[in-house]
Amino acid sequence: MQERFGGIVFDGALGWLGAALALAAVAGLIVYEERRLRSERPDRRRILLGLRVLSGAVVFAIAAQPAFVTERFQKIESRSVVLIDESRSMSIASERGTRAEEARALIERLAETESLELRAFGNETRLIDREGLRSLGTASATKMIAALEELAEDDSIGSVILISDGLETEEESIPRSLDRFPIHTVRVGGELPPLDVGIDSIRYDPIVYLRERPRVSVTLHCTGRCAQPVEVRFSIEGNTVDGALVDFGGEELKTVEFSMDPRKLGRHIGRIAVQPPPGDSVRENDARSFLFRVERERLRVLLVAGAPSWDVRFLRELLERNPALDLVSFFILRTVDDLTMADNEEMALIPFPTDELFREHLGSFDLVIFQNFDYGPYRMAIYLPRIRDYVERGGAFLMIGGEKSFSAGGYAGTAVENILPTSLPPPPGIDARPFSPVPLMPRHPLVALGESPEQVRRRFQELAPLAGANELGALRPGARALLGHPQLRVGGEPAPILAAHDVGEGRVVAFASDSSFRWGITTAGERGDLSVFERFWDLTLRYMVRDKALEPSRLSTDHERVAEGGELLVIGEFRDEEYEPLAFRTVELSVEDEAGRALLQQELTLTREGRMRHPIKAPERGGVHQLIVRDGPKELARTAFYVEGGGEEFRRVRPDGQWLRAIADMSGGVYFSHPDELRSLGSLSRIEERKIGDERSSPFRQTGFIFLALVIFVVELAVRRVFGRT
Amino acid sequence: MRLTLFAPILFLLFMLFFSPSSGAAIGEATAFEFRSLSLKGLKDDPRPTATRRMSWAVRTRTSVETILEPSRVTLSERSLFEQPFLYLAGDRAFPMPNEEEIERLSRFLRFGGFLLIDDASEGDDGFDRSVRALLARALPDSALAPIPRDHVLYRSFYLVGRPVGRVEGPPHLEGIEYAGRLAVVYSRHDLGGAWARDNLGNYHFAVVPGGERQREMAYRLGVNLVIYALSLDYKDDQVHAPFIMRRRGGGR
Repeated sequence: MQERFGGIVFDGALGWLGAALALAAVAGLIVYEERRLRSERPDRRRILLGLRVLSGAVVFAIAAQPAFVTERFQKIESRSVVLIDESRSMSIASERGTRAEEARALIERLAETESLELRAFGNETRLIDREGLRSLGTASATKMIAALEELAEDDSIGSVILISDGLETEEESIPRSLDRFPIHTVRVGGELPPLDVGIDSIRYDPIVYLRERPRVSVTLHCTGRCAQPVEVRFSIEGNTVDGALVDFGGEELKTVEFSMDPRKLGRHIGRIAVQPPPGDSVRENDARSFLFRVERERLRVLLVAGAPSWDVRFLRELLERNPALDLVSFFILRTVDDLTMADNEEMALIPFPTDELFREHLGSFDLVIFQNFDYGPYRMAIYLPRIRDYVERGGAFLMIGGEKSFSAGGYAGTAVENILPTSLPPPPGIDARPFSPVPLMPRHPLVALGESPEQVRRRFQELAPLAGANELGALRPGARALLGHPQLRVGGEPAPILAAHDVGEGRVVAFASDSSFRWGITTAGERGDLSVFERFWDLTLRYMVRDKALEPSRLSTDHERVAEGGELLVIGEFRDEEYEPLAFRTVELSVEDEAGRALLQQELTLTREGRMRHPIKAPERGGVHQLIVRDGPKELARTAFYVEGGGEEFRRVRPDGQWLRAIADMSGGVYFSHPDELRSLGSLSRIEERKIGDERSSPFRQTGFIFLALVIFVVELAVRRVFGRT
Repeated sequence: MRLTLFAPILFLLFMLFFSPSSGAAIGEATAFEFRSLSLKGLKDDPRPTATRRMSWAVRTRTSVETILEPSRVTLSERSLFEQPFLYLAGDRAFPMPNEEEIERLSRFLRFGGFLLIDDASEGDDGFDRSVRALLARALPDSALAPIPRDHVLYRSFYLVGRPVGRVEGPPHLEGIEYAGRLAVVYSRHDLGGAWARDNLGNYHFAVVPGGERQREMAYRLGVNLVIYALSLDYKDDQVHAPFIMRRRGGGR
């Protein structure tokens, strides 16, 4: 045990403050006395002033009660913690099995002679025993700096022995605050890097836009000898969209760029996969998935009208007003039969750029509208198959009626007829009688003008009648008639007036009338409500470009990204093809990982409205996951979400000794480049003084001091009397 | 005399030859109708054949399908809102319609209708005063203003310079813009006077100062007005600009 002076404390009233006040009072008294004694002889003056100073010191000691503190210490060996990396990169093969096995062997060897306090770190830091060493190599992140900072908050720890491959995944620099105790670092993973080709990083835009060709930049690493080029593939939802052969040419890192052509809105899963060379040591970094969302910047619409008309005018005006829409419109203002009575130079007419529109730029449109347009006079027959192909690849096509549409426009037997939702009767196929269409699927969003089917039927009855109709034939398989003619029949059913279906990846809607404007100005003039015309076409456009809100079934999560094991709220609404809610239906909710393995399967009962709000726990493993809802064997909807973590763990595989050496150097520890270099913890132990208590002595409270004080006061009094002073 | 005998036959043959080959609407109901507005106290069209002639001109010169025998409508008729085009011509002052009729005219214009007003008066500003008073009540928040010469109206079909009708009139048309479009166009050029023609092809009125070119330009302005009503600012689309610039630059 050792002792040392620990300072002075004042036990009098008010502690340090009382002592300061007492000192000030005593000093004032002495100064006052010194002035009074200026008339005295110098020898007497010195004696009297000396006695007054002595009395003052006694008074101060009695008032302030100074006490002396002595601290007691004991020298002990400091507490050491062994901190072991349990991240997934520790499962990489090394000279002796895996890195985790190297670490386990070291611990077992040290434990033979010493008692060890073990902690493991990965995503978080935790206490483990030797049994817990079996879980090494499972954590999805290496939060090494965070673990050391956590230990630095514990004053009782004297040193840390860190065993790791040095592949930190969260931090890029070592904070200076880690110098509180020495950190001795032990590198595992062998001297020679294993042969490995893997994905180092993927750079991509999490949000991309339709019609753009965003690029995905992939950096690959090669450790060891990569003599042969490596094949890399980029796929979206399992379909390969791009690929490359990468020749490292002796370099360790190589970057390759891929492009994509997003065509579908919503969340999508991209995947980069490397064809590994023989002997590749880490399979986990050979493929990585990422989540991205496709959005639409502005909807591009091509409107081609066979002639100016009120229906064309009001629809174009509506489209022009929509700020989310980029409209290109062409109206045929003059036919070959018209006599304009003017030279071309006196007219504001331009040639109809058929080739430019239907060969060069067709794919740039989200929606193509033929409104009362006959293709015949414009030698467009060669472009009709291109329109069919455009739809099959994901485009949307809307044909609106008139005397130049459908059969009357000569489309029967063409490629366009093949994509229409109905067959076409022989021309002219026109019924000029006014009529009010009847909703056939009142819950369908295109015609849902009211809350209930009855309300929808009533609303349509209240609208101004349409002026006439194109006759459409029978529905094609899978097509739906949403509005029907009250008198005309096809196969015993109301003749379709509004019909829709999906063709390939695209969607086609047919509206067999040229007087929908009457749902605007005419209805508004009579009832004051202009909204039906606008609402009908707004919904039609949104439906055609697959606005998620108008699909029969919708599934989403409250977050696109979630932490491992975090909570995720699943939100869904499910309807059948008639848009009737799947009320109280029991459905299966499942979560699948990138390999298609089901990680979660639950049965849930939907509400009366066919809705679902259900919290789930996200998987513990990072990466992209699919959330799928099925009704029996039928898939109702799916969406994807991303679990953070794990992706970085195999980004690099070569052990990072420099990182571990830097930690050791900065903290005053020792770096071991191989576990065998660390023979025992004894050489690293540190002796530290641990305070075991204080001792306090108060000499001015003792009887001897009291007696001495009385003597001093009496002597001063006697001397003052002798010298004639009171 | 012989000419008089054969003129109707020639006209019928002409009609047959130019019968509509570019039908554009399902039945007559959705074809364009150059429909006249009848106001109480205002003598029906001073140029009764003008709308028929202009309907024919639009049909033969453009792809627009028109009703060849346009009708008349009053503000109180239920069918007012079935055709979004109205033509109001007059040559004298008229009494204000009642409140309900004015409200219906206001709704017609606000909900997308187009009103062409044609002042056919000579030296009498009674019609002009009545028109301005009517519009001030129908669209109180908007006022008639000159339509600038670079307005799309002057290039919706033909490239038209100065507006002219039977008379040369003022160098501009006036209009009321509502929600980004011209809801009202007001001409003081007696357009109908230049268009009016009998069944034998004789024009009713001579144009002043004169020349068939002036009459033709009045027809072209009429066609442009119809195409504008049906397509609004379509010709302002970027794709048309280089063609029109080139032709305008050519001095036409």
